[in-house]
Amino acid sequence: VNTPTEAPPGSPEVRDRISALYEAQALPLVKLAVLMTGDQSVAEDVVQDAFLGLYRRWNSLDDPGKAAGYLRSSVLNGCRSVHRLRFRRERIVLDPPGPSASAEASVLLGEAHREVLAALRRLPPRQREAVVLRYYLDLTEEQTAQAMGVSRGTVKSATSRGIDALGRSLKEEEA
Amino acid sequence: MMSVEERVRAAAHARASLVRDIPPLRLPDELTRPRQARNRRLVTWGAPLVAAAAVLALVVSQVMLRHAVGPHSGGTSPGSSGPVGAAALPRYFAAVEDTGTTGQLVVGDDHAGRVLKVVKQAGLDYVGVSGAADDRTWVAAVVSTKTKQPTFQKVSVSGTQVRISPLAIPSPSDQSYQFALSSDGRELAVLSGNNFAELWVYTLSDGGLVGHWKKGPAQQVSGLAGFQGSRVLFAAYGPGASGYKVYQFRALDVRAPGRGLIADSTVTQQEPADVKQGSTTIDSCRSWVYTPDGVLVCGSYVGTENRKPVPAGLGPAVTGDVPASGKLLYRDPAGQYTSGGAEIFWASAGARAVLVQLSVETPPGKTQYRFGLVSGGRFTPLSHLGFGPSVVEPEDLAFLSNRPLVQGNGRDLGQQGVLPGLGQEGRPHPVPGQPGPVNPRSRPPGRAPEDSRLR
Repeated sequence: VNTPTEAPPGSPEVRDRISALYEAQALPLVKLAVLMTGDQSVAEDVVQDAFLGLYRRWNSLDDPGKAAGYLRSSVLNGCRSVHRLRFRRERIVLDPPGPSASAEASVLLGEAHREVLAALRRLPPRQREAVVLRYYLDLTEEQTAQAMGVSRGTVKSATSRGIDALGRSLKEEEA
Repeated sequence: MMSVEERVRAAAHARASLVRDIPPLRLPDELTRPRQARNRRLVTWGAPLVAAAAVLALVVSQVMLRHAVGPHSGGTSPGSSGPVGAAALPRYFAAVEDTGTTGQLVVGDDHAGRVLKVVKQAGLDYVGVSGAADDRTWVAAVVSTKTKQPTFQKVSVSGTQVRISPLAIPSPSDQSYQFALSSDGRELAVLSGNNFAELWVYTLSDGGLVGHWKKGPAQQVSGLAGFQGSRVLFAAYGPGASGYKVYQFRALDVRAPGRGLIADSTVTQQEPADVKQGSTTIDSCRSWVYTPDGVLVCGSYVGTENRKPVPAGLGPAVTGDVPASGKLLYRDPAGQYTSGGAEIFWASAGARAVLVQLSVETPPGKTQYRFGLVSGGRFTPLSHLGFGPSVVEPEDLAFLSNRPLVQGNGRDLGQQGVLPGLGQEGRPHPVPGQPGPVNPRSRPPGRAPEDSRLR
């Protein structure tokens, strides 16, 4: 079995490997990105870009087992970029409609879930990442820290602040 | 009723379950030709990898050099009083150290360079500490990992003995709260409620309620700033629609009649928030502390739109209304960063010495942190420990105790000796009569900090 460093870049073998990874990993990654961005089409683009990046960097991976971690970090980075672009847009357009789920999703989701997801999207990216990784993917603090590229202490504080902010936000919604 | 965590989990899974079909993977055809691909890859992606390695090496060398470097001058500042030596730092400290899972309480003797006690209890998470002026009395907040309910403990030092006793003070009404111990160590102020809507002041001796104040519906309280005598100092946003542009620092006399947090307090100082200069936003007082003699010391935040570099002369600054030295105490030199901030942890009388953490975000989205002492117009870097140089955040450190210090964890401080060690490996530990922000001060609803900001 060839390791990534042995496979020529762009070779059919690499394409096959990336395609197999896509089969196995893309759907959960799109789900993660949907939670981060609130928009499935944007999430799909972010995940596509992550796989494209992996394809281009295949030879720099020294362990195939790291591909999944690389992809998750790439998706999180991509979602941050989306947020930055969106933020810049929102500074120009006052009170824009927030990034929303599809009409179908809006119907299928209950009001309570919609409120939580809206509050989640209002969190700063780092807090949102920490909260989603901890409570959606159920990663440990250590795993979350690795995915975000920060310390466990940062994960802990970001999660705590995120949950506090969500709690306040939801209370206001209910008041 | 479901907890916030449970609601997040349920909503996230519900939303994720609606994602069922995704488009097939699209890979570029040109990269299927190996020779072209190899050349292109080296040009396009080789450089960033080399750059990343260089940055890593630089970071490592900085850490290694930290023990060796002496005072370091970096930015500009008007004339000010001379540098303050480490001897000016107080003797005892108490701080919360994050172990990655729960926080532990560390009490130490800085002058002797010893940790006196490390308190770590199963099921308990120390989250904050606030101290009195005597340098040896603190109140710590500790949260049960099962019930999530915070309680308060009194911590005191006598000689080498550390005593910890539970306090009868009620738990805060909300998960988000700040607290501050009075200078004489007899009363505790707790700011809590939805959006810091309410302030409670209790006596430590029996948990009795001294008073309870509430803000009005349209008012925004931003955070506690400490105790001065019988006055609780706190910050709020100015009134009206444009009020978010002004921080009002207010004093509330807890002995005076009246129960309005805003209505019965007086404005002692105002500082602008979020001033725009072209594409640059400046928050001149994002972080603050009061010195023992009442000087408000501010740390600024600056950020740019479109990720442009911060213009020269607008870098993160430390300011204070100090007659002897002028308003600007220190400004970080301009650099290739897109945002930056100065988080103030402690300031001595007259703001002659200020412990601060400077943070700058470089264009690739990496944030660099430097912790150190501003004195005499200079910034002297100090070491911190436990967290990598690129990941220390103010929130990781912002557990206030009685006096500011540079501290180590138990093992390192004990082995390396003396604290006064400016430049020694040690985790900064903010302090004095200032509140213990269990959660960082928050901006008003709808004003969540943007991603390019530091928090």
